[in-house]
Amino acid sequence: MQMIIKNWFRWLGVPLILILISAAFVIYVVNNPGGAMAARSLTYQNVLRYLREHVHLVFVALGLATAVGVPAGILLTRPKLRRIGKVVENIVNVGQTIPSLAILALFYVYLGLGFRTGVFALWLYCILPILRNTYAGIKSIEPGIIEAALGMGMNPVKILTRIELPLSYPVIMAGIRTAVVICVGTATMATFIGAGGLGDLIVTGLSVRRTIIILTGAFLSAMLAIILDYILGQVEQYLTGRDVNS
Amino acid sequence: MVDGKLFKSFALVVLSLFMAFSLFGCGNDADVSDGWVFATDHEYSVRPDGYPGLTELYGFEFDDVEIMDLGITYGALRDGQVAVAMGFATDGRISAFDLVNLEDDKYFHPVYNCSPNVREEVLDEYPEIADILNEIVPLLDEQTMSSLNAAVDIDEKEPDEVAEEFLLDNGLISGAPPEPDKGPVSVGSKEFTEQLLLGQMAIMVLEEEGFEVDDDTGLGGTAIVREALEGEEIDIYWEYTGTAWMAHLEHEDPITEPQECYDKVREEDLENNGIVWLDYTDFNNTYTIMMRQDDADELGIVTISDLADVINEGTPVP
Repeated sequence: MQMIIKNWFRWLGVPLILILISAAFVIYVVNNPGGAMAARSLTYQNVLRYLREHVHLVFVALGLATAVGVPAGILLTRPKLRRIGKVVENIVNVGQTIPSLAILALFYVYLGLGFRTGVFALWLYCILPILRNTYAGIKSIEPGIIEAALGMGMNPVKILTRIELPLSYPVIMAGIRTAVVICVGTATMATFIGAGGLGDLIVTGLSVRRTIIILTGAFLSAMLAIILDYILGQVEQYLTGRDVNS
Repeated sequence: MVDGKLFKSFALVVLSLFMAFSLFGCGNDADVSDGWVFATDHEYSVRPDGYPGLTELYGFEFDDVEIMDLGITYGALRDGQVAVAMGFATDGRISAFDLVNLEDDKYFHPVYNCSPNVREEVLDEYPEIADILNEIVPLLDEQTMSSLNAAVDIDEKEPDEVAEEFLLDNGLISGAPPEPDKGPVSVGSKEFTEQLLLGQMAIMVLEEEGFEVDDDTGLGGTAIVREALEGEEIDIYWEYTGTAWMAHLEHEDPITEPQECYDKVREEDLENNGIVWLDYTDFNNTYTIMMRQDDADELGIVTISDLADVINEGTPVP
């Protein structure tokens, strides 16, 4: 807590500045759309709605991905499951190479269109880096440390909570941060299946050839990714006591 | 750094991250919006001759607008995820999915009626071509064209099979064309279903009358086929009045009345480019506003004005 108060600027000031920059940008483009076509798309009401839909998609997908990815990653490192761990890791790596648009299109066919399909596809896509990093983080701990812990008479639960997890925080957090950035970007694709979000702006701008609409969607999506990544970076730093953002 | 306190705070952070992420989202589930929800593609949602102009002219507002890829508006409407959707008037899925086009009674959308285009020199040499092709035109209303498209797109038949069956049913061909003694003439088309069908029909009726016909259907996009006609590489293809008015004759403002658009295009294209427009079809492959047939019947909606009235009266979606 002390650290948070001491570094209030890092915790609140920087995100606030980023949010103010985004707000200034939105105010500027709404007042200077440069044409009737863009003006119809770029109203405060529309932009806020798309932003809200985007944040909504990203948060639900990421929340669920964290909730499943971290425990699943931990489970795969348990001695009994260690053998399939390698297999799952490979499947996960291959899965990450499937284009995000293809995943959305695939689940559209089975789940229909709309918000739920969007969240499901994003969730699947975000789970991969989280699960992989959790698995890799725990696996990369030197066996000697675990042996020493065993020698001290620690049981497996204690080893997990006192040795394995604390030592792999940075890697796990890095996985979550990767997932955040991927998720914010991929969520722009959800527009194709009617799930809304900032992709609405980007694709609309593309189809009527109005750069300012595309720019607004892209800028807000990028800012969202930067802000979320920054905040998670602060959390990571707080946990490990290391300065990761500088 | 390896201690229980750190673990507790870590668990707390992961848990609160999850809670924050999920709870933030679960509050307002924007998935299935009730009421008069309209599905549109991205382009139609902002074009002045799209959604904004439509609601302004007819004087109504939908409760919500869902933007999605053009191809899936039909499915969204069929599955009940929206009450009204936009699409293209002669798409095969409209009849296949039990949807109905609402009549654009205030002529808001630009018109895209279809007509065979023939080069003047070809018509001078074989004047009978005009009568031969004009025989097909009156058969092609919106319902017919839409179900022909559906036969290809939904039932996965070949365009030439569908065209042949249609012409046989209407007694325009005998199924056994005579030995060719005239021609050759070349028939082109763009590369989507409706164009392939129309191209095949033109080929078959001409062959029936003893022409030797080169099949150049499926050439490419609008610009390519038009260039082929102007460059005398093909002699005949089907073009849409609105497309010619805006793309080939380079006018900025769309015309929304079928006869007016056809007359102007025919006059100008003959004068400037030596291209003759034969009769035009009743079907008009323009933007359309669609509803489910059942809903439309229940509320007695036939035109977009009816829809506007129903929405303005506050009638709920069936």
